[in-house]
Amino acid sequence: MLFAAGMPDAMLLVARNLSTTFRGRGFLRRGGDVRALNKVSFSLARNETLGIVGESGSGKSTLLRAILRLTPYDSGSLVFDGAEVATLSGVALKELRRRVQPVFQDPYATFNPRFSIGSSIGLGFELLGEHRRQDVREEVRRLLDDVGLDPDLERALPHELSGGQRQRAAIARALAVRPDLLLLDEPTSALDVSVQAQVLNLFKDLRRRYGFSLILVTHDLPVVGFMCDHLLVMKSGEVVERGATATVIGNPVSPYTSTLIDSAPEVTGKKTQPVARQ
Amino acid sequence: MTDSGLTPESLLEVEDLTIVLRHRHRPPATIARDVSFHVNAGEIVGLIGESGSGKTMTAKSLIGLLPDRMEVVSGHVRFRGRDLLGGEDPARVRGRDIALIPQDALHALNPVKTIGWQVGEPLQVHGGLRWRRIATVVGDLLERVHIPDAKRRADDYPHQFSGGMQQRALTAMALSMEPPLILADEPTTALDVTIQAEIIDLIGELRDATGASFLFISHDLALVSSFCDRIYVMYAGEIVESGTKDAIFSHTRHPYTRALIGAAPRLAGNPERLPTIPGRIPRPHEEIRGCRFRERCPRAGAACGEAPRLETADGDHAVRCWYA
Repeated sequence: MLFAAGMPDAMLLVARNLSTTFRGRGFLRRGGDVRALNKVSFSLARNETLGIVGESGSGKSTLLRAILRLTPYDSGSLVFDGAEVATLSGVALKELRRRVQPVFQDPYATFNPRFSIGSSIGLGFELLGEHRRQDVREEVRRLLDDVGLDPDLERALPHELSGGQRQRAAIARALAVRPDLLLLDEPTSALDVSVQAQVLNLFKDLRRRYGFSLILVTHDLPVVGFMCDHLLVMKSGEVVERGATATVIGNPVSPYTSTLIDSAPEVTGKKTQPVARQ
Repeated sequence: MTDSGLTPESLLEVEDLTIVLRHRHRPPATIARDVSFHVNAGEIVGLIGESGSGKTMTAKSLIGLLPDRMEVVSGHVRFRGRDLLGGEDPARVRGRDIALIPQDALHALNPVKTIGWQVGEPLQVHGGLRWRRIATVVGDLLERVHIPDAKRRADDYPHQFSGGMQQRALTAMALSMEPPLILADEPTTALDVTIQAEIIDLIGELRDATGASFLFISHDLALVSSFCDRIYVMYAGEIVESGTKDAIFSHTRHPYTRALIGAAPRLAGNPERLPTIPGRIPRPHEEIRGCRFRERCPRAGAACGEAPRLETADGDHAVRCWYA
């Protein structure tokens, strides 16, 4: 199971009772407080793939932001490779942000529109201390080739690429700094089915070659079924179910998980089950 | 190109529709080529294809919403026997005969008008109703799409509605003139899966209650497979396969349809790698000799140098392939 009491060294990331509250905003804080994460616990072993599913507002993205330390947490602990994320500062914090790399749904929004693809990816190598222009360029071209892009696209601007190509470039940029953990936030939701298949296969190939762990946040359960060993189901900031993907999908315990599974269309011609209305 | 299965109760018949994009420095590009399909009364028909397949422009051409430089250069569109391309003002057809549920609900709604005002607008424009009467009808419409506390929520503004409720409001707007045909352009793409299932359920329910037909446009094969009666698969501007849901998914004949079905991941029992389609979809201005899928097709052979026609295989099932 996920929360094994095994060797702590085997764990790359451990969250225990992680909670985050967003304070109400505006005059007299009339918005009220929102519990974005409520006692979330899970662990991720090295080389493991974890899928996080849940609807809008379930806390998936807040959790990703907490791991990158872009959002603080109020209580509980989040330990990345033995160090409490909240206490990191200076060089250690920079190191966390090198070792944990996000890839978002819309890579267009994360590329500088005036930088060539090659310069955006090359920045990563420069962070690693590689400054000789020719070496950076060679690394960039090799990486582009690794993610299935024509190395000559190093000169292209982001808007010149298709959605699938842009997502591959975003993956190349993330891999440039040799991360230990990739955080994927709906990485294929904007792509066509045939392009999605290529990108999902690419993640599997790259994982074999580069050996990183992976957290995949999505609302698309079949994608998790294909990609992830383990699955975490979230609702309103809480973990409602977790376990091996095949077990959870085959034998969901929580009624909410069953609802998600029944709502997920599959190409088998299965009828999706409408959910009872509030 | 024939479209089999035409029946007397055909509501919409599209025949050999060709849409081009005019270009200043290049010859015109073909967005949709000889597209034929029909929608019968009370049917939910799926029009599926990936980005660039021409599905959205095909649908938009029916109600005169093509972008500036695109135009229909040949073909016929008959709606209840009327020729929609014969000079009729599309603004008179829109909303009253054929309504559209657009993809992005928040952007489709006017942020400074109330939901009730917007849902009632077609009633005023087409129906000439007075606002006092409209308020009652709007309340009923919002109730029909299951907006809780509908009468009161009609005074809300779009930002006060959740994504799913905005989509419901747009559906209510489309229903307001009780049009016999509703075009739904990816109406659930931006929604959570559970909300998506609710909207799909609502469409089925409305079809049963009002007898309206739906043309459901989507790139999501899995979604379409769950509730459409008949399906047309488009690739690079052409319909490559059409048939009942069962024919398309259980007796797939076209290599492209087969590849699309194979490329979608399943909840369980996935292969180690997903089968993919090599290459990319041809752009509209690229001239291709023969079959447009040929370059990417695992079954391509000598015959494919000549463009195949959409041939009826059996009954309602038609396919555009020499080797199917």
